[in-house]
This record gives sequence, structure tokens and C-alpha cells, in this order.
Amino acid sequence: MTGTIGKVVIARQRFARVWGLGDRKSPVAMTPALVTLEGDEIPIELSPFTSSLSSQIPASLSLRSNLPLSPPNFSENAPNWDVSLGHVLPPSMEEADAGEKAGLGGLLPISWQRMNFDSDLMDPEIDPQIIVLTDAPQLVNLPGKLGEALLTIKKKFPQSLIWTPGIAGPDNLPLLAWMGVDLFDLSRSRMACASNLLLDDTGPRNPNPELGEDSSMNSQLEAWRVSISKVRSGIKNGNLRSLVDACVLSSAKLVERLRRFDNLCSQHNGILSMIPSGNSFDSYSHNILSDPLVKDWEDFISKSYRAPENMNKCLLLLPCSARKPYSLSKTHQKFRDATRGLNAHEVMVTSPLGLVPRDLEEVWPAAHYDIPVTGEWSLDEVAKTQELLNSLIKNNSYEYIIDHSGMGLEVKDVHYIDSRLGKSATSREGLDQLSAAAKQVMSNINVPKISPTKRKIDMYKSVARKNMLNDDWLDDVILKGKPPRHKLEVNGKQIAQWNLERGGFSLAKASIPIMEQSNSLRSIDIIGNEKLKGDIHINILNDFDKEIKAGEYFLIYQNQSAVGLGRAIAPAWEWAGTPGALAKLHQKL
Amino acid sequence: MTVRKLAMTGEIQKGAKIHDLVKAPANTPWAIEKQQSWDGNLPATVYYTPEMTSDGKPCTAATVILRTKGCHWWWSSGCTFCGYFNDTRDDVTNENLHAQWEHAKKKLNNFEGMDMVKVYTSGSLLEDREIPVEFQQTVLSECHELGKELIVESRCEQLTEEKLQWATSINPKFTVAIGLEAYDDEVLKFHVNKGFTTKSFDRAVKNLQKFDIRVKTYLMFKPPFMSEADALDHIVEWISAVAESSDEISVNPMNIQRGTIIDRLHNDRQYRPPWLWSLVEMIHKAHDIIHPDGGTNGDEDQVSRLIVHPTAGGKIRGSHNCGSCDSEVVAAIERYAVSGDLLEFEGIDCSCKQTWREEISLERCLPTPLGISLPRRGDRAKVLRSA
Repeated sequence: MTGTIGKVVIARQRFARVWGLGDRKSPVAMTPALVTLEGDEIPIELSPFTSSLSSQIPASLSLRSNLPLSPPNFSENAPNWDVSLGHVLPPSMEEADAGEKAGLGGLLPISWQRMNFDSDLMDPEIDPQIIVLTDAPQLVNLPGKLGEALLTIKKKFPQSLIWTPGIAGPDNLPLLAWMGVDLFDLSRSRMACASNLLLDDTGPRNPNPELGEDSSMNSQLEAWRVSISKVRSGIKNGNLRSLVDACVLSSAKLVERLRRFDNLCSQHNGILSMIPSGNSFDSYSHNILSDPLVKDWEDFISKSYRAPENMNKCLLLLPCSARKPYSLSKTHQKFRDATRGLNAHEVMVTSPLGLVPRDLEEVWPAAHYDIPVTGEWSLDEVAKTQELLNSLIKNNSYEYIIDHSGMGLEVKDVHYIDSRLGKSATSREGLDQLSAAAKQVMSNINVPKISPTKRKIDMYKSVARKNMLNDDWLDDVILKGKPPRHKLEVNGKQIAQWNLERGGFSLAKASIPIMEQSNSLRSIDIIGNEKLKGDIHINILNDFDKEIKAGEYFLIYQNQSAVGLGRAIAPAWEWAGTPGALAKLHQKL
Repeated sequence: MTVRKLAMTGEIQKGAKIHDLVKAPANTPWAIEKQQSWDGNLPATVYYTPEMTSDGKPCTAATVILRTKGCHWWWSSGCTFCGYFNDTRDDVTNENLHAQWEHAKKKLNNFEGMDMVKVYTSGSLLEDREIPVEFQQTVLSECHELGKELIVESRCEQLTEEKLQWATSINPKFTVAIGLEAYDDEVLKFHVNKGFTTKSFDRAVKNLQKFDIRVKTYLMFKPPFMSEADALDHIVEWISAVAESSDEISVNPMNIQRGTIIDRLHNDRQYRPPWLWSLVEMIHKAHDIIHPDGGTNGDEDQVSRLIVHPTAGGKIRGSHNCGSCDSEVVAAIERYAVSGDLLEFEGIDCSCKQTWREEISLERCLPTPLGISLPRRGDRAKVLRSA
């Protein structure tokens, strides 16, 4: 039996998605959700599927829809599948092939071993609706393997729902969802119930009967309901990572898994977003230091970043501010007053990003991160910042460095002035020392002065180098209008406007030939000759750049001609199969 | 043809066969060194235990485990769980074997006071490639002359009419124990890599019955790559399948032997030996097959004799429960093997039984062929923390 599930992505963050299941216009169920096992009593709104297993060896798995999920009619509870699980060898025997393959179809059982040896999985025709990772309980015992398996599956089959049977609970739900798992089961809760424990979002624990708690399955299910609700909201609000950072603290293994998964994701492109996914990039936990977003920033600063033209003589290191962008804060107003006349390259020392150049202070995530300010730095933070500073110095030709950060950074081979000398950054003495340092630099070297407009263009170029392929498209640009919403014109035609909320450009139709000529944007290729309209979705795709981030502008090519501009809703990993809109069409010729 | 690999690291390669991994430990320096360290003139082990004769009389049985060249199936492939390579030496001669036999007889005073002698060779006694015919003859004839009930072990392919005719001409009444492990061709092939099928077993049993040789069938509880629930549910079917044709059925719960593939899986927390509760449950379910009228051993209704001996029972590397009830449950299982009486389990209970029950129940419905088995000992809240 085969069949498809009607589904649409309601919200997404990194690998986590809230899928609407059923008719896309009015889904009847959502993920993350539960799969009902024999003996479970789960309300249908939490459990769109029921699973059962045959007793033969190898076993056969049946999955039944509890709701009408199958297009086009959505008239009966469907789809339903039966599939052989095949023989499965434990993942630690990854050199060997069991031989007896699991079945193929809408319901696809996958094991580590199958991922290594079954070439059928590479068949472009297969379209799994639900993937079951059948050796998940074994994979969690091997460092890094679960994350590697999930990431591989997500990238190969972005259209599929994933179920990792036997390992989930309200305690690790946020992390598993973050890693891309959509379907869960009550097995760990049932084990907790059998041991008179309550498994909630803090892990298994003894219930407190004096507060009306017990370990019944009703209580276990309630813990699931709360956790599922929080995760759905987290994905929708763009702050799932905060939930993840909190949940992993219930088990050392979870912290380990999160950090390993972060490191793994950092090695892959097309996963991140370049737009604010929520109101802020919450950085309340030490684990955030391993987030791929942070790694991506560090990577850019240490390898690719160059100071704007005419700003590479003097580096001014400043403390960050709670208010973003920093320029709008009172403290930075004071720093500006103290260094008036010094055309220095201002770089903020901060965590978790390490260093944020002034010219990038308005972009994601520099303008959106939120961190508890204690005035103290961890050794990790100091080490990372020092590393970034060393790269910055190496990649630029600074003659002087004024350090007003107070972090105690070390500098070699460049004139170094510590303008804090133990004083508070905004104290009278501290600001006087900063002012004196600026004067000392100005008297010793010739720091060219540049106009505010030129400075702004330099900033836009810096942003372009960060978020686009190059800044060549800005070579002949002039600024019009009032800041912060500058209009960028070439030959009297507006090609873009600065969008402060998004920390990026809004590109105009007139930019298309310039972008094409300068090769400043990634691109996609679409099929056919019909005039482009509506959203970009998989059915019209011929090819796409595998590094596109969510929120990124790209050029649309059709028959080898640039015909429009789009902006990605989903990052590139989803583009190989996710149904629904992947990008918005923004401009067309 | 090159097998394509799904975005994993490294070169794309064809998968190894399971038996390549099974045999790998035998070729490690420590295993080779260990093999070479054995004295070919001394048996591996000689000991005696309480037993029951074929007519149900309590007796003392001598067990002689000889140091041999091992099993010919191991030479070409090997069973997934087998750790006998640890005890073999590939240059053992006929003279060595006779010296070992003499050593055993001397140690146990020519088996005086013992009605039964079990001679085990880490392979098949009646396999000419493993054991010189002259030595086979010595064992068969001497046990017959001494009036001892002889039990030897064998794979199926040796049990031909021709061979059995020869053997019974020397010793007309002995028992052959066959390591069948599972009466299921799928399990024999994938989980056990046994190298023969149920058809071979049926043929061997027919031959043994033709020569009035007693049949003892070994079944394995929870072979590798199998969940606890599958093990429990299927072994009852296998017991049922072999009960009529077996004088004795010996169920061997898996234990972890050093250097085996199971040892590797156990270290990686991907295999856990059976629960003792599963063995108790198996006995309860199989009892109706062994004693259709609800009798006990020695009663008229006895179809076969069911023996369960949990090697390393109660230890982490053997069948075990939570740690507090293990010794009591192991003792009851051992008693049942003698009495065949379910009353041996009367009143035995523990809080871990509920955990076991739930685990089995979940494994019967979760699509996790390798099972979910969690550690059974220690603080449950810690055990149940997310892995």
C-alpha cells in the first residue's frame, strides 16, 4: 500500500519544523506529534498515526493514519503502510552488511547499516513520507552517530517526517526536534511509569504526591502535551534553541549530543538563516558557543573579513552594549564623543560572537543576540576572542590598537594602548583615557578622514561581503534618502534600500542586470518558458545553489537568462524535496 | 558493482559479511598467543556435576572438555556467538587427545561413581576432520565398556546413517547433543550464521532415531541482533517444534564470552543478555508443551525434558535481573530443570518484574529490531535519563 501525506511547513527553525498534516489549507494535525503504540491511549490531536508490528522475523511494520491525511480527497483515514523492517545489524558493526534489506515505499525503515550499504536509498524515485530510524536506541549509545544519521537523512529526504522510536521523552523532545525528528512515542514514559517515576521535561523523577503528582500514564501524557506545546511554540517563535539549551541540562549525554550536532552542522552549508528567526538570538547558555551560527560568524571574521577601505590603520576595541545595534546605546555615544576625529575601525568585544565590527553591527545575528551581562568572561570566551583578534590583526594592516574592551587581550607587533587601565569603560577616568589614546594615535599617524556617506557605503559593502558573494554591485552606488533607510542608486535608478529590521538590503528590479553582471548573488535555475509568478517551489526547480541560506536573495535564471530575484524562505537543505514554498519571488523582469 | 554510500564519510566499499567480523577476534594477537599457550596434552576442563540419567534417576556426571582443533565450521565461517576459538589449538594430535583422555580419567578416578560422561570437543566428536577416528573410537568404546551413559556434541552434517552405524557398532546407546540454536531458518542464517538449516536438523534427528540414539537439542535464548521480546516469543515456538523429536531440550541463555562479536556489542551497549524473568516466562509457556497434562518430570505426560542453565546467571555478562532477586530466580530455574515443576517459581517476585514486563511489551510493538534493553541495575531515575 502506498500513499502520500498532505503536508505543509507551518514554521521552521534550522532542522526543526512544525508540519501541518492533511489538507494544506486546513491541516488536521501538526508535528511534533506522537505515534500510538499498542496499549497507548493518546488523544487524536496529539497522535496522527498508530503503529503495530508483526511477530515474524524479520518483522513487518504497519503504520495507520488516525486522520484523513491523504490528498486529494482527504475523505478517509489514510495513508496506511506495511513494510518489512529487514534484518538490522547493530550500528557498531558498520563494516558488515546484513543482506536482507528492509522495504521501500512511503514508510521507509532506515538503520545505520542500511545507510551505509543499501544503494536503493539513492534511487531518485523514492519518496518516503515517514522515515523510521529503527536502530535509534543503539545509535544514542555511540557518540555522534544519531546526529550524523539524522543530518544525512534530513538532507537526502527533506520532505519526510522522521520517527526515532524508543528514545524520546518530554525531557529530550526539544533537542530531538532541533535535530529534525518529527514523530515520537511514549515508550520511555511507559518505562518510567513501570518504575513509578514521572518523566517530564526535567527527566525522570519521583513524583510529589503531596502536590497531586503521580506516575500514571495520564500524568506522563500531560508532560508530553506540555513539552510538545512548548516545542511547537518555540519553532514558531524562533526561540527553540533556548528550549534546547535548557532541556539538555537534564542529562550529560544530551549536552554532549547537542555539542556534537552543533559541530557537525558547522561543517555543512545551506543550513543556517540570515534573517532574525525570532525576536532575538538568545544566548543564555554556555552551549550557545558551539551553535553553528556562532561558528559561522567566527569563521567569517577569522578567514574572510577585511576592514573597510581607509579604516585599517587604527583598531579600536570597545565593549558591547545591551542595546542593539550598539551605536544606538548611550555608552557607545560616549565612546564616539571620546574618539571624535579618529577614523578608527571600531570592533566590539562580545560573547558569543567574539568580535563584531561596527560595519556589521546591524546584521543578523550581531544586531539580535541577547546575553546576560555579568562583566565577567569565561576562559572559553577569552580564548575565542583572542583567536579572532589574532586573525583580525593578521588580515589587516593596523598600526595602532586602542583596547577599551577590558578583556585583557594580548597584542603583539602592533602599537597597543590599553585605554581602560582597570577603570570602568564609561567612567570619567576611562573615557578620558580613551580620549587621550585617540589623540595619541592621531598625532602619531595619519588616519585619513572620510565622509559619513562614504563610511555608510563602506558599511554596506562590508555587509555585502558578509551576506552576498561580493560587493562589486555597490561600486558605482550613491546614497539617497535619510538614514537609516538609505536608498541605493546607480545611474539615477534605485537598485536597493537598506532595511534596518532585517539587517540587510531590499533589492529592486533594477538591480537584476547589475547582480548578474557582478555575479554577486547565488542563483537558481528554473524549468520551462512560462513567465515566472508566485512562490518558488520544488516543481519548477531545475537546479539551485546548495549554500543558500534562509532569508538570502538569489538570482533566478530561466533558459540561461536572469529573469528575477527571489528570497529564500527555507535554507538549501530543504530544497531537494520539501513541499510548499521554498522562496518568495521578489522581482521579475 | 560498487555499493553507493549514503553521504557517509570515507570511501564507498562493499559491506563485509557477518562472519568476517565474527572471526576477526580469533586472529587478534592476544587470541593467537592464548591458543599457543595451551598444553596439548591437557584437557581444557574436567569436572563433575549432579545430573539425571536418561531414565530420570539422579546421578553424578563427569564433564570432559577436550582441547581440540575446534569446529570445522569455524574454520570456514563460524557461529556469531561462538567463543570456543579461545579454547582450541590447531595442532592437537591423536596422541594429544589420548593423553588428555587419560588425564581426565585419572583425575576422576576412571569416572568411578559417575553414571554419565559428557565429552565435549568445542566442535563435533564424530567429525573426522576435527577428531581422529581412532580417538572417536576410544571414547565410544571405553564409555561403553565402563557402562557410562555417554553424551557427545555434534553438528548435523556428521550425523549420517553411515557414521551412526559405525558409531553404534562400538557404543550402541549414547546421546548426541546438537547445537541447533533456533528452529527457524531465518534466525539460523542471519542471527546465528549456523551453516545448516532446520531441514538438516530434521534429517539428522531421523538418522539418530533410526539408530536409537538419544537426542539432546540445544536452543539459544536471545541470539545476537535480536530483541528480548523476539527471543522470548520465538523460543517457545522452537521448543514446540523440537519437543517431540528431542529427548532433552537444553535452552542456553546467551552469555558474553570474551573476544566474541557479542562481547563487542555488549561493550558498545548494543546487546544485553536475557532477563532472568524472560527465562521464567519461557519456562511457564513451554511447560504446557513439555507436560501437556500439567505434570512434572518423570510423569507420564512428559514429552521431553526441558533444561535451562543460565551460565553466569545473575552476572552482568549472563542472564540477570535487577541484582536483588537474581540468586533466588537462578536457583528456581536450576531446580525446575530437575523437577519440571512450576511450583519452583511460586512466591518469587520483585519490583523489577514490572520493568521487565513493560520492556517486553514495548519491544513487541516498537519498530526496533535490536530492542531497547536498558541497564537493569542501579537508580532507575538515572537509568531512565535520556541517553
